[in-house]
Amino acid sequence: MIDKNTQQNTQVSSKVTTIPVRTWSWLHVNDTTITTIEEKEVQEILQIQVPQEIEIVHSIQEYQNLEILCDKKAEDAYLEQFQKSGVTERTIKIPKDYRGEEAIRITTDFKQHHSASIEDLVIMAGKHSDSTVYLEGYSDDSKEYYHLGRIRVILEEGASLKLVKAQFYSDKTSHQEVFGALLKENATLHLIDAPLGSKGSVQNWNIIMEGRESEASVDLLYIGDQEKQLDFTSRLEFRGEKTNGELRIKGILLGKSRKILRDTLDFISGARGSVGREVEDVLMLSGKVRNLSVPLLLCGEDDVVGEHAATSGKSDEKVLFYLMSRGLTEEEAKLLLAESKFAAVLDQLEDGNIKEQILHYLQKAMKKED
Amino acid sequence: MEKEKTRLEDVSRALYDIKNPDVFQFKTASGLTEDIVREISSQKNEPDWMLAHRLKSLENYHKIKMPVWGPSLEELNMDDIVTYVRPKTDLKNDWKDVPEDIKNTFERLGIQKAEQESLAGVGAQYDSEVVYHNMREDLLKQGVVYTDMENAVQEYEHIVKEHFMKLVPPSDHKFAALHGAVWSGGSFVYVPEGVHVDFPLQSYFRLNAPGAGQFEHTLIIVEKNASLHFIEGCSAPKYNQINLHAGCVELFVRENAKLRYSTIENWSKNMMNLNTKRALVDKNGTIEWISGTFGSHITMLYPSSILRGEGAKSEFTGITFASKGQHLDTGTKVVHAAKNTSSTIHSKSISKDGGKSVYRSSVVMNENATGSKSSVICESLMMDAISRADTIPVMDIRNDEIDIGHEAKIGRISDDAIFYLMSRGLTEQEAKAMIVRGFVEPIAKELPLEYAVEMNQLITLELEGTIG
Repeated sequence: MIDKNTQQNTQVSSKVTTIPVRTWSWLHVNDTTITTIEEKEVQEILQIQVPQEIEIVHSIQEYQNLEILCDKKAEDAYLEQFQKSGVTERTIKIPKDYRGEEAIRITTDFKQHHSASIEDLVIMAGKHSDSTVYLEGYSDDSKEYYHLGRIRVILEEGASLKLVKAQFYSDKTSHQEVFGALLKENATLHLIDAPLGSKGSVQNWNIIMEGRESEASVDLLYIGDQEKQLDFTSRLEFRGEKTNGELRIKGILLGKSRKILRDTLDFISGARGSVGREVEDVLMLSGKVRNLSVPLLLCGEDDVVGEHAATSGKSDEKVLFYLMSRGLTEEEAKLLLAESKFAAVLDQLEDGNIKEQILHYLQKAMKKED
Repeated sequence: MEKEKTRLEDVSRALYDIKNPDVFQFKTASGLTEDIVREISSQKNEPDWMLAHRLKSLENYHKIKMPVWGPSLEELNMDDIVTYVRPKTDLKNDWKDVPEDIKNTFERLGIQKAEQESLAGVGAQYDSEVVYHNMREDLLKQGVVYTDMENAVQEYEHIVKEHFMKLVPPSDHKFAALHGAVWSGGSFVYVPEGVHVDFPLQSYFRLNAPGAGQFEHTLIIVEKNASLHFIEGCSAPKYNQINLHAGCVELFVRENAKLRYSTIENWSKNMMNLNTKRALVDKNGTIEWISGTFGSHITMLYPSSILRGEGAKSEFTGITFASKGQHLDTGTKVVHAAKNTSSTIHSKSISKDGGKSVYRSSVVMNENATGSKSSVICESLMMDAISRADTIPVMDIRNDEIDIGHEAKIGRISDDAIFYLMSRGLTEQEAKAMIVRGFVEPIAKELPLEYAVEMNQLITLELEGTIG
């Protein structure tokens, strides 16, 4: 159900239920507020660089009804926006058996002459292909920008895809995204997502392991600073036999930021032999942050293992004291601890530029709070 | 080839399903109207403020919508529920004065034996009224009060008026409002400052009338430096129509006091069990919830702790066993509202034969709850692929000076564990039995001995082939 109310002259905020199973209303965790805009302002500023063998096509009939890939409830509201603004999907077709060394790079970079970008992207990884995709988002801080993205990924049998997503939008940019993935037999997806920038991210991931022995591994990094509102919803669905899904979340909260994460492992009846794990580790570096976690385990199959663990707290005083005794200032020691939270994920990034930018963003965010 | 599975038998209900004839002194018409609410109040000869409270609650009931989360309550039709049934006896304090059929019911349930052997006092409710209440003489002399709520409203009016439905206001949710309108029976306990009640007090609630509701109210105040263990038991025979239980428990644990509240709930599978339990804990006070949910068709039960005093503690230990036709939505809520408070939650569930168990919780750490800690562990055991086990926890943390850890696990019995035990000399069957009993053991050991034995009897293992 969508409850609309006009917020600004060109923006409409809507409440959508993103949690798969509702809980107590007084906790205010069931719904997400999303924003849509007037269609006249919309542009598509996505830049795609692909190796020669890879084809980019517009509007493939076969993918037009792939709504099931993303969270249906949030997606319905966005679909209307896509239709109004005339955005058609762009499909990146990675051919069967592709084994290219060169990565696919997709960039959204807001410049002064832009105001809003809406993107609808499909990545189709052909059978037994092996590829890497980088998706980056940037904006200057000269004005307010609006970004809405829908990304759908289909991994055919035996396909392997490493997808690195990072956005460094300015504090004036509004960012919303829905991501869906469908994994066929023996397909492997490794998603590293760092939605760091913007004035507040609303992101939704829905990954379906449909094929037998398919695997999804997700690393999510987030930083909440100043008064930023982070609203994340993720769901790993275990549908096929012997599927394996893991969600690792590392977060740092500063200032008066607020984060909500609804993360679900959903074992469907028939997903025999599947294993799912989710781990959230949050470092809270301010007494004024708000940290909401809703880790759901839904299980309709007995022959599975589903585990969730979460820890939240401030920096360990003893470790801080030790680092300061070695000559670091308190700020430097805290930064080192924060960087160490991200280290294991950053080590998996072959692209040094993105790694540097994530660290730079963290340093900048922590400096703002000093 | 399909593996044979170890089976966990249903909770044996033979003892609980014995029905007495539906004999009563007075019964309201079914449904919920102002006239019925006035009639209940009149039957109890209540003061005006309580009637006003009932009528205000009824107003709330009509205003508040049904919950939009949790199990479907579509089968519940309040027009079919009889909210008040007065049994054909008054309150007695000697078992020999209790009518034979009612006495036999409680005797079969082991209440009289438990009173003689291991309890400091007993209250027994039959349908809407308490029919027996008694407590040890020495506790009376120390100023401990243990009586039924109707009597408390008359004799301890100022205390009841100050506390009644203040922790669970009728505006809280639809079934709290319903309770406020039609409550009847229940227990009132007052433990004066510095008094330690060395043996537990126990109230047992038995609903015999078909199509009836039970709405008992339990109000317990444990004053400074005092302690109490209170046990609540409940059961009903099975009928082919929906029965409703919407009780309310309000617990006040004062500074440095300790209260353990144990419940073994074994309602019949036609029961909607929509109970509300809440505790308010002052400085350095401790509330311990022990909760076993075995029966009912649908349960929504989340004992809650509000830790408002510095150093206050809450411990929740719960087990839920959901079998065919059962949807048991259980868990707990904790609000850390002062410095250095702590909570531990340990929940286990078993789902089998299409049963659905849901663990639902919330841990809220307020801005002022610096130095507070919380540890949550919940484990769900699935016995087959037609059942469900869902875990829905929420953590809301509003300051950084806290330490919070949460672990949840869902699955079947590990083959590795069986293999390990077999390598240590156990047969496969012994290994399996040990693992399932070990799963419930952390809960069983927290129960009074006679309840632990009962729980072990309730869960009977039938071992065949391999687990899984």
